Amino acid sequence: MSEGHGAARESSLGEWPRSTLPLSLLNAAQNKPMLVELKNGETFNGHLVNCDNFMNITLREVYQTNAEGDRFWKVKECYIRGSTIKYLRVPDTLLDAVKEEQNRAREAGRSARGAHVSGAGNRGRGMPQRGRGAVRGGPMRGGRGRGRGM
Amino acid sequence: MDKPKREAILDLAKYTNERIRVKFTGGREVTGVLKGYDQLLNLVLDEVEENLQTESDADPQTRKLGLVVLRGPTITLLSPVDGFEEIANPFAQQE
Amino acid sequence: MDSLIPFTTSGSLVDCVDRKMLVVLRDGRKLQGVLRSYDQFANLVLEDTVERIYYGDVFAETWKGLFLIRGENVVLLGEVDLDKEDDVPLQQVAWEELVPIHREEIAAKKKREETKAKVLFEQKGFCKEGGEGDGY
Repeated sequence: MSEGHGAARESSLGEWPRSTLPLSLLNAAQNKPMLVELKNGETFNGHLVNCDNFMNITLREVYQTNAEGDRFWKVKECYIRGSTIKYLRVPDTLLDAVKEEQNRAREAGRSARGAHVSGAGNRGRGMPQRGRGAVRGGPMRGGRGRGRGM
Repeated sequence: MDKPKREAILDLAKYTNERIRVKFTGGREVTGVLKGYDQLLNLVLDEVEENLQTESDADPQTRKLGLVVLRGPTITLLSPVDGFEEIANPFAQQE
Repeated sequence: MDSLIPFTTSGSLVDCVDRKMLVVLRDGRKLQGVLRSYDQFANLVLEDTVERIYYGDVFAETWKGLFLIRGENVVLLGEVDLDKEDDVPLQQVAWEELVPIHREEIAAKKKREETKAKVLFEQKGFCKEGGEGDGY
């Protein structure tokens, strides 16, 4: 029975709403310090100014290090194309901060929408199953399936 | 909640007539004075100098390219030349 | 297990969320951490991450914290069996101790690969590799 499937799946990801998607985390890292390593091994230490859904980022007050790790540059600000990034290291505390923010947003959304939500609840419950396989929709919060709380 | 980042995250207007450093896929690197740009990050730079054999060699060699159109999709890194300087290891004490 | 999600997509990572995972990157780095989320590109959020290096039958690890890994750089993602991970007959040594040895090993390997590529190109009629030379 497909309903059973849905329930099992929901519990497996239920406590991790999609809004903690990697790119949402990046969004939440704005003004936070981070280390970005590019595919070519160069690293950039700076504060995130802005980012987009391509993972393009702008940093300020940057220390650039070459791939060998033996030369260093100070850069006031820089733009990095997302496709050249290998990984980003962000503050450990960021995940908790995002979670709290999400809970607040969810509570606010629930009380604002009131009874309307419970009606949409069933529909919302179905959507994430598909979405989870190929997660679409990006980091927009308060979207599908958020109706069922946790 | 968060704004969907449709608009560019980089405001190139502030670099107009300023010298910027651009790196490309493949490793080439140039500096030049920003004269124009579009949403795709295509740039027009004047007084362009290509930095040859960066990173590997300590002595910087350049060649002059003059007025150049840079293709946005090949640009990997962009930063103002102002405030760019080589420094000693800033992480030395931490490591 | 979840037949509605094709195992060939990042959807198959559902069951890995909140599990301790081993991630191997294209550059050869090996990270272990708890997978907290992912997206359709298999970009990963890895919490409490440590990096491990190995040499012979010893290994060393160092704390790295919270990672956002761009999916295309991942070669391998595997769940760590918490019941068995301590049974692995490897001896842990200090990070600082192993790093120089590890670096040397990487440099030696790189040199070997370069030599091999040179011979293949000049004598055996093979084409030159793209340059990344990581075999992936």
